[in-house]
Amino acid sequence: MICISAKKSMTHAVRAKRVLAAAGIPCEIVNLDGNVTKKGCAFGVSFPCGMTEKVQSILHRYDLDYGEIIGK
Amino acid sequence: MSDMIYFDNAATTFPKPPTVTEEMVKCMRESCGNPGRGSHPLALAASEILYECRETAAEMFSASSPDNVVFVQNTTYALNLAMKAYIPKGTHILISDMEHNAVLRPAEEMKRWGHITYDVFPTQGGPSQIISGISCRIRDNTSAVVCTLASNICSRRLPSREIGKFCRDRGIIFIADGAQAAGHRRISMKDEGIDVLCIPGHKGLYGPQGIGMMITSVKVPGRTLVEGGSGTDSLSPLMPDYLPDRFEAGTVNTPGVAGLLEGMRFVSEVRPECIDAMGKELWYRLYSKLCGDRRFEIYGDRCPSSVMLINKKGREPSEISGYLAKCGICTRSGLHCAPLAHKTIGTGERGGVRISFGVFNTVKEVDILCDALLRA
Repeated sequence: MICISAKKSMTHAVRAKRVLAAAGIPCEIVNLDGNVTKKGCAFGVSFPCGMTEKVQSILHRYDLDYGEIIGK
Repeated sequence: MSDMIYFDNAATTFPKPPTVTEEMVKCMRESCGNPGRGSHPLALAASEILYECRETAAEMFSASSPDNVVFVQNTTYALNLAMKAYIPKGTHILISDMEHNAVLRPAEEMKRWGHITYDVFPTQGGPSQIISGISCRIRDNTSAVVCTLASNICSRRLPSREIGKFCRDRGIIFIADGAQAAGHRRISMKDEGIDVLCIPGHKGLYGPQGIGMMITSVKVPGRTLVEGGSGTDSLSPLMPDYLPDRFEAGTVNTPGVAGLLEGMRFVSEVRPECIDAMGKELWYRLYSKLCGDRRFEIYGDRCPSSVMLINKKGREPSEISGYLAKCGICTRSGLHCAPLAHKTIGTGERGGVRISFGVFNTVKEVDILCDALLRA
């Protein structure tokens, strides 16, 4: 199962992807549709749902808001 | 152009390091999707280049986050954005007497809108004299000091640490024009108390023209100068309230960013203090050859830097630059878009001949220039 951490900007998405990849977490930047975010186009970082706790902890450490979890 | 000797590096550095061109071409060929506008491989590759450049710039200038690095066309745009975004209506600002039109004109325009008032502080003397000049012009409603870190017409540099501290102690925004300082010395926004740093890609950072940065640490979102697509929050009729998206409407110049990134890597490798030392060595070589000759006037402070302004008695600056151009030597005559600064150093009417050094200039080239100046 794949989870997505929504990010408010592409800049945050790239940074999140970099820190997660550096921690060995398989991840990708994905497009989020407007009807999902309710705000319009957005980006997120996908990762295995089983690693949610670790992802949360890493993103928090790097001052990256975890954001809405999508696709759980 | 291989025989050309280029001494107009304050206008734009030339030549560029070959790796800058290579990275731009590589970007155009391999990764020139629209950054932040999709998640397909080309768009992501472009987004990665932008992020890498933001991170490199944040580190180079001690900015608090890559988010705070906003890409713009050039320093003029960055200064306009900074001033119009962050200076509150109904307030007063201070600019220095060495400003380029990139600061003077927005200040004057904002004054004519009835948005602000401004005063000019003198920059002659040491840091304490300059701070005293700022201090005595401060009003209750002064909201910002906007000034250059280094003059574009002569070797004068402003004491940024002291100005930054003065501003910070009073809750005033310090907006710095780093057009002639970036790449020539280490700039730390944190240590120097700079709230907004405006810098070009194509001068001391050895990148291409058409790309610059506004690096900000101001906490309020600020008014936007241009609105449009940002790739995110598209259902809102307003620009996002977070950086850098708030100030980056429309597609960013990705090949330009790729070149800028490579330029910054080049500068980091050579090191700004070494680049500064090279400029000073050439400045001093030229100065030592001209200073004893009564036909030449050398303006500004007598401390070496990478910029020298001269005139030759009985000749107009354009005649001298024109003669040098015929000898294959590039310099720039006139007012250098800085009439206020020229007025300050006493060349307000006719300007002068600006000779500005870059990292690829040599002592031999300075000697050839000197011989040509003596003949001119």
